[in-house]
Amino acid sequence: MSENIINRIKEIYPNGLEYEISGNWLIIKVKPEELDKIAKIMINLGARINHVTAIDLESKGFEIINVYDITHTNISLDNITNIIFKANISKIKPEYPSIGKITWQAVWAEKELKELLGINPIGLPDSRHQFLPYEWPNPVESKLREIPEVNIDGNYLQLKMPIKEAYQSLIPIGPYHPGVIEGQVVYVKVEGEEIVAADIKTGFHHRGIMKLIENRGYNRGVFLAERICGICSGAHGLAYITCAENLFDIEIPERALYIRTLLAELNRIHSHLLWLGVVADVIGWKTGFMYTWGLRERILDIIESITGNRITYGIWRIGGVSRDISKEIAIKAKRAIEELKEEFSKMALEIANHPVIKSRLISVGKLTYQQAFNGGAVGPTARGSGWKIDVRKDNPPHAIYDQSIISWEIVTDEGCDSYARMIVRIKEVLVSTDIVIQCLDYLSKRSGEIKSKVEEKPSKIEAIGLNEAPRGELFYYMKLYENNSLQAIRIRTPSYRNNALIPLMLIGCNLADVPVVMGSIDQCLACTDRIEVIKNNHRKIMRWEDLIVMSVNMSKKKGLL
Amino acid sequence: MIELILIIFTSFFLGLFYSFLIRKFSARLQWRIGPLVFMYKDLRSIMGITRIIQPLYDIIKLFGKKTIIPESSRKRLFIYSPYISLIFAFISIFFIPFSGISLLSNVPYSLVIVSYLLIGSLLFMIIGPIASGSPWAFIGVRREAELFLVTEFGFIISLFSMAISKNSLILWEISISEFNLVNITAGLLMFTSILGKLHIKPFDMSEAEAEIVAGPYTEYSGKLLGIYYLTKIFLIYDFIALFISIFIPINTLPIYLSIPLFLIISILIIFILSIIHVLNPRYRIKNALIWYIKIISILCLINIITMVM
Amino acid sequence: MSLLKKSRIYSPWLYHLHCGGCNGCDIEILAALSPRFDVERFGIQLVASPRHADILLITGPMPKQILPMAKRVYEQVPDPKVVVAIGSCACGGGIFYDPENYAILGTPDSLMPIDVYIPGCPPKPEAIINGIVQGILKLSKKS
Repeated sequence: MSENIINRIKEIYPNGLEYEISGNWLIIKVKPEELDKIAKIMINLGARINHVTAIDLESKGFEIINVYDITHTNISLDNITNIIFKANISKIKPEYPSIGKITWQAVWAEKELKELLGINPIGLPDSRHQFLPYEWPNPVESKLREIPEVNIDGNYLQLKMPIKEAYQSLIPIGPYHPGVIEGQVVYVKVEGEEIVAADIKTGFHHRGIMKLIENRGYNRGVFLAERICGICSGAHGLAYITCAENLFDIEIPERALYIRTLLAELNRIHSHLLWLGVVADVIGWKTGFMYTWGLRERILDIIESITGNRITYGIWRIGGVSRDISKEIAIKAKRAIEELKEEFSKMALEIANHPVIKSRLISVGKLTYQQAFNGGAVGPTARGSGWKIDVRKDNPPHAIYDQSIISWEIVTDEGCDSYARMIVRIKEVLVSTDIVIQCLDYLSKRSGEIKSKVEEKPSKIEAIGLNEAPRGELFYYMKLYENNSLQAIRIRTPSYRNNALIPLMLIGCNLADVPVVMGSIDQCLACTDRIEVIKNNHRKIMRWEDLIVMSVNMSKKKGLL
Repeated sequence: MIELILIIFTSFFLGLFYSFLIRKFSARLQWRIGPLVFMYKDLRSIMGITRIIQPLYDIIKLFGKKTIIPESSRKRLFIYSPYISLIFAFISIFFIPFSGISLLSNVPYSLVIVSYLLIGSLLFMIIGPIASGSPWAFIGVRREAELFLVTEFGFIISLFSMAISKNSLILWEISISEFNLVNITAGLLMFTSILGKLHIKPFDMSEAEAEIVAGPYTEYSGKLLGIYYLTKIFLIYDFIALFISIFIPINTLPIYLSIPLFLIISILIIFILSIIHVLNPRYRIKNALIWYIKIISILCLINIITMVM
Repeated sequence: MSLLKKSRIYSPWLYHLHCGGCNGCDIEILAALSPRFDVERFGIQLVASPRHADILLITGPMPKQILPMAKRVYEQVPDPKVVVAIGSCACGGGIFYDPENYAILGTPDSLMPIDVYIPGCPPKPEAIINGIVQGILKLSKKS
């Protein structure tokens, strides 16, 4: 069945190819030295990298996991949607050839690997820290390389010039900046008001969520998963549940699937309306902000009447959902949604045709199809560049997204700029209201179970789960120990991928456009910075100054300073 | 003499009222309520009875706060320029006629004096932030200065075309002269430049919140910020009173007619400004300059043609 | 009551400091500005620069990396000032609190004095407005 890809890989990798099929995934064991060649083949075939990560197998070393999405390639392997390549490396010499040097999609993921697990991808193009401050010694190379000096004026930015020289023209946007409420730093080098170089540093919101989920077990993890991001909490919940359910062999009742779809789509509508408001605010249009946030309150009312909460829903359970929707609420909600759709479609036209909005968004933050593909854009950012990917169709989560049951379509736009991304989102709101109306139709007419019984012990030890969050593809990976407790969970969020493209989009823009470009991908840094740092559990509360002192002392001990 | 003392209070409270109205009108146009005119009955003991003088509360509160002076600033310029700006704006109220009352506007060359005073006030609003040393203030100030240059062009041309067509440099004489076509064309020109000078959207890029923090005023706090707010209050009055007195012939009417007319027309102008403020997102500085140059050159041309006729 | 104290109650300006929360509380703060709740009725405004603020709204569990920045922002707010902690995370770590969690401080308490705590995950806009009003009353008592 999977002959042609196996054959291709066999060409470069003749001796002994182990593979197994588990659910919709093909798992192939390879040697770590071959990972970059495999990546080249896969990228040339048109596959997309879902995630590049690794698991600490304790005494057995590390297991590197590369997940590819093959739904948009010519490889036809029945119902296989993802190929997972695994390679074991030892802890004595944790190295493998970098995938980041082949495609930019993997760079941030490999930076994370390097920083969190101490694995060294050889040839990684951008070897600076991802979550830790730049001044912090490099866990992998600290023995080999000189530690950067602990001062602010170091030369570690990719701006092709030292900061000291650029002092007048270098503008740090962040960590606190009113355009984006969350903390991050975007360094832009300006000539006049035009941006000639840009760089981004994230990591200020690092909360250690993955470690917490590992400590608490997969049953309780969904509440943490929902709180990775308060805006797309519904999408995170659904993705987590999809991943956890993939560990079991269970059938989820149809009514529960409909309720899930309903909430995920309400979540999307609320997120997109919020986004429109934020972008309107960023370009100085307070009225647009007030209007969309006024509309959004109505969606929150519906969500509150169903789940009891406005932001975090707390109804996702393995095997179903925890709350049912009564007929009265469904009928009421349907009326409200229909009204909202009518009102919004009128206003959307006004917004899309406003001359000043057009002048602020058109041809700002250009991202061509090829750039989006190489950089691994997802969600509306990719669809705004004319790339027709949508997880709801390619790798559907455990909800009703079958186009033969519910009619909906993927929205794309060829504009490749901020305006195109806005159009995609506006159309998606309308598509989502259609889905919601169809779900409510079903829910108001039928009744049934909402939760099926779950066996005590899962049938598989690892699983992946994907979902289309409002911002793009969400990826969850879980691995269990033999004794049914959680060994590792890996999360890759959409903002994490789109953020890596910001420096690319900023170049050539006006300084006034920086918040617009950053806003146009709908970045959510709460999502981006969720990752853990392993091993060094400093019980003592450490301050920044202490950290710097400690790093200096460490390097002095090693005789490097 | 008594008029001169009265105009201080009148202009101050009118300025406050206008800035309240801009807030209130834009809130009402955004499906909100805005500062309450009548506070809810059960909250009156804590929240006060009315919020019509909300801008005044803001200013008094700012005066009661600690003023932080950043290390990187040039201290003398940073501290004194708000005061100088306020003084310029404050003095100019005496030279602008207020609905049939001439005040000091019949001194020789009063038109030139007013235009110099207004330019001076705006200039020190630009110079102070330059001294603050914040990169956001630099960018804000740069935008402000560019905008200042284009709006000043329209402003001056409009003022002096009036002076030429009425054959006088005394503001009072212009304001009581006969109404003709130049009043309309020069008035339009003045209106467009007031948009930029009062930072009505789409021309508020110099204090664009989401882009450059609070623009020029990023580093100002406490009393100094309060002084800038006070200056703005007087400037709003200045521009509106100047506009009405020059272009709308109400100064020849008796006082009991001209004062209500003045109020009605000024509220109407504020309402139009609010609508423009609410309906538009912010321009980029480049687009704004192009817009201004286009509009102003067209209006100037029309203006000159009407003047020659 | 003197005019100055009255003005402090009548015109509180907020600065919103995001300290690594999940955005849930932050969008609820913004929702309090939106037409349904409209805090501008009471003269409350969101300002862009900490130097203009009277009330600092803090959300999130304070990851250690944001500490120096948050401290600096706190110092930039001129006296008198009030700090309002919004959400369970800002009050005591919330769901992220774990003795083993290396990444967060748990609460901004040890970094800056907090005047008002608003628990909830996330608190509703009504609760946030109530908390801000408590903060305003505290502000009027400070000199």
